[in-house]
Amino acid sequence: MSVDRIGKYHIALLIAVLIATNILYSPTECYSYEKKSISFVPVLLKSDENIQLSWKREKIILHELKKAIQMKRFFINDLPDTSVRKFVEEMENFRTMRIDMMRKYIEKFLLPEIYKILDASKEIRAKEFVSETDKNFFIVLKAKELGITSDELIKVMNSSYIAVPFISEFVKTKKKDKIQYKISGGIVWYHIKFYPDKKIEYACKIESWGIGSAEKKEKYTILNRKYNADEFAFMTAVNSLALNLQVKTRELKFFKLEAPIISINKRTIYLTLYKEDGLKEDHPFKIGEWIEDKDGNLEFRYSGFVRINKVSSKKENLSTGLAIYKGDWARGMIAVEHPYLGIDIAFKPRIAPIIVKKGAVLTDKFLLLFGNSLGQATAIDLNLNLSISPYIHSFQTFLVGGAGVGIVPVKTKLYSDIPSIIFNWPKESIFATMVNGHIGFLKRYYFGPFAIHLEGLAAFQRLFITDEYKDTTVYIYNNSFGTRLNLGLEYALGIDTNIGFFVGYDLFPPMDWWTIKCGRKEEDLKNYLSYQYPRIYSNGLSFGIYLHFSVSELPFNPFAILQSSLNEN
Amino acid sequence: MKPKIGIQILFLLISLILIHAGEKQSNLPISREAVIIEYTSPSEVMIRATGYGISNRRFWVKSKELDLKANIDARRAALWYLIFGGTDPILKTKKEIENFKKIQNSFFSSDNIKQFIVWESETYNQRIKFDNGKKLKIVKTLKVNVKLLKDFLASNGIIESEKSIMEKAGLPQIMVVPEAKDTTTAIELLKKDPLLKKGAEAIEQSLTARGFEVIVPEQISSINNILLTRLSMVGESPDPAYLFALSIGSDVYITFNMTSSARYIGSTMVKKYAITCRAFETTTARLLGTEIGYSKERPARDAALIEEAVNNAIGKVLDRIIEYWKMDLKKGTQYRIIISCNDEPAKENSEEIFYIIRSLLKKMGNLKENSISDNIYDSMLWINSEAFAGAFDIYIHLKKKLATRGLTLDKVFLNRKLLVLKVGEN
Repeated sequence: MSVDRIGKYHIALLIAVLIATNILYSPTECYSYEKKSISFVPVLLKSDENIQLSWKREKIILHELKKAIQMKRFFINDLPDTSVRKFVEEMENFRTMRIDMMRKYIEKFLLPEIYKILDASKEIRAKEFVSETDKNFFIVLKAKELGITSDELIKVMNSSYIAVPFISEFVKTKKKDKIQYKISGGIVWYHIKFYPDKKIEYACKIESWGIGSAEKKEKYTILNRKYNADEFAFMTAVNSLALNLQVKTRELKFFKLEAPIISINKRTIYLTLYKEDGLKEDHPFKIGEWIEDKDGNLEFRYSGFVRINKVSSKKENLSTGLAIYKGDWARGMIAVEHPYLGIDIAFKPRIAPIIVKKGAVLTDKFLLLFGNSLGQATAIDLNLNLSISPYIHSFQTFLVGGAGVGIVPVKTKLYSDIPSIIFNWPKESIFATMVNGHIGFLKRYYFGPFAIHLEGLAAFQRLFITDEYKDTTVYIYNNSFGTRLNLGLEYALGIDTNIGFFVGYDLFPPMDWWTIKCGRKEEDLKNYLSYQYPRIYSNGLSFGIYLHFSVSELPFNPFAILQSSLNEN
Repeated sequence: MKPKIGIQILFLLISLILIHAGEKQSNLPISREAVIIEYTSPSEVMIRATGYGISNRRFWVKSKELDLKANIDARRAALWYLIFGGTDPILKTKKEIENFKKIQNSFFSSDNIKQFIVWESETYNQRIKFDNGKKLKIVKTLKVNVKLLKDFLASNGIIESEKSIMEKAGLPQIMVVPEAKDTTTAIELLKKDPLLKKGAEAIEQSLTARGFEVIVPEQISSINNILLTRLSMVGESPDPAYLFALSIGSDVYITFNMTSSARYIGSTMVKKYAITCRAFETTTARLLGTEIGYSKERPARDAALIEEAVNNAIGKVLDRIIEYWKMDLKKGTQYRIIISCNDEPAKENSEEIFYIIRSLLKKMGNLKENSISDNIYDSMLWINSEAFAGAFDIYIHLKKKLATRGLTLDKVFLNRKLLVLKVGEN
């Protein structure tokens, strides 16, 4: 049975499960997320027999998927090795997706173990389900009992899920300088119930993909861990896939965090979700309520959203969220998790100052002259803003990484002989290209839907021209390191989109640092006229438009390894 | 012309303001929906109540305002339920209800009702908006201090307080005994079964907390044999609990039985207890009230589950006992008087003797005859407690009066509620 066919075969079952889930509690009940138990099956199934994967790679994929899926919102049922081994041995014969067989073996080898785990831990887990009201009953207040009833115990035994990982595509592409991996895969979720009868039901299937690429010659270090190019590309792809699957898991109805608002103070809402539930700073929650129309139909209607700005432990106070778009809210309304990968993609079209003061670059082969020009670079930056708030516990703090490209009008010419200089001094403006790569921090302060952001970037900037030299196209680069400080005003268009503008100050000093690329090779260039070299620098205000999108899935995520490592910590 | 229109508009505005000012907002709850979840202690009760938030405004209805109103309404509904609703409301008589109506608007004011609410859940069990978002319905859980509520009503002259009853004649003496299936005595049952003892203790705990005088059956070794003989003569069934109560002389006795069910969830045994409490008037064995309390099914200690079940049963039973006691006090203090003819001459003239006794008793208070046989006269007598302090006074009074008629009176058995006497001729 192929992966695609699983969905088709089980749509009806999924609908039945969803209906059953809804029957469990009245839709208008102020439902708060209750922890589910999960077991991760450590066997990587393949939907295609042609997928070739080494044992080591398979183990890494399994490890990363497991790490991403085993979130704090779950109780983890760690399956014992002996049972898993038996299961794996049996499944070895059916390593391509055989849902029917898999189910049979899960039932045979894993279900008894899961039962044992749940049975042993059910009292402790059931404690999580004891409501605020239950804690005020005699049995807790006076008799000092846990307040657990058989309902809570059954809830523990019936809210267990099994995650079966699979991959549907594994492609490694080798180019001259690059290595690229593309991995597609997903998780098949099963729901297990033990009461009144033992049951294993198909719940759903989630799928995503991840891409990773690396320069062959490069070595990569992330959080003191070294990777060669192949490892880096592979790990980026695996972690991108794992993080995407994590977000998709959080999106599932039965795993989504939600809780009623306990109180509201101006723009701050108080929630009964905690660090222990996997609540994280910056994550958005939509606020909604049940509305009944004249015909008695119920509808859950959203009216704005918050971002979590303080995550508390259960022993501490309540966690809080800051209203970005505030509707007509009151306590008792429900905050529902909105999927967020923790990364915003920002586009920043901007005008930046570029000043060129005349000078020359003399090499043993040619002479490059620059005339004076006071230009403005028209550029666009593409940034990835990684939310680091959950790790440093500071609301709306981002690690920024990105690149930009732009055009700059300059007066320049390349000479290969002295006479041509006399009659052909550079007067005409041509467009040079400016590229930059930058890294830094962004801090955002929200005032309702408006926000002010402060951004500090350290950047490597290069301006280059192309010209013909002896019938060959040459690229001559002027390089500089500098900083950019931006102050922006944003407006939240929606839960995933902000728009605004910014004013910045760019400071890139002139550097007599030249490189040339003639053909494929880029080399350093020695300028014999270093006393009057063209001074290309930025020192002034820049202006731009800011637009960001929060994404729930990012197939190519350069931060994937870092995010995954931080989550581990 | 213009000034006239101006005056008309002004008049209209003033009228509208006056009409609006004249409208008094009722403080009575819109919702009357509530249900008791648990008696958490002898004085506190956990209630799940519904509240409606309805705005007076047609436009710009704010959720916060609806929420506030719905919360107040839920509190009012909870108190309304305790005062008027359910099977055992606090206000029982027409007079009490009429008295309360005079203060109900001020009673249900949001500031006043707060004092009775001990705890409120932060979250709602249900929350739903309707009528285009202009109305809000919430369901939430509250804990109400019923004792405070009753004291408040008593201090306002709506109901008679337990304290005032105590001051007048004291609260009834109550004995708690387990129900016996056979002839096993209560003491044996309590000794044999520690869980039954726990049940009795839990009931006694509630009784003492409410100020009742509790008689512990363990202190009494056995039922008075003479009493047993006499009662069998008047055709009483040999119910050990009843005999015990009569022996001891409690005003009321409570019998209880417990059943439990157990099952396994995984390897954990969960248990559930059901406790039936039945209150009887001692002198007549009249049933005053029965209530069954259930514990939730839990993996908890038996003692805790028993107490949980007792809490859910005993509150209502005690309310019924108080109600009975209040009614009974109006008639006077109740005694059961059993008089038998002592000797043959007396037996022969029993009709005449009983007639004399009857006349005497009628003069002393309200008399109700249970049975009259050839030589046994069994009656109930309600006597003003100020005229006769107790059973011995009654006995002495009767003795003196009968002596003037040439009759002798001897006591066979005497306690707080029962006089077993024998009459003879000089």
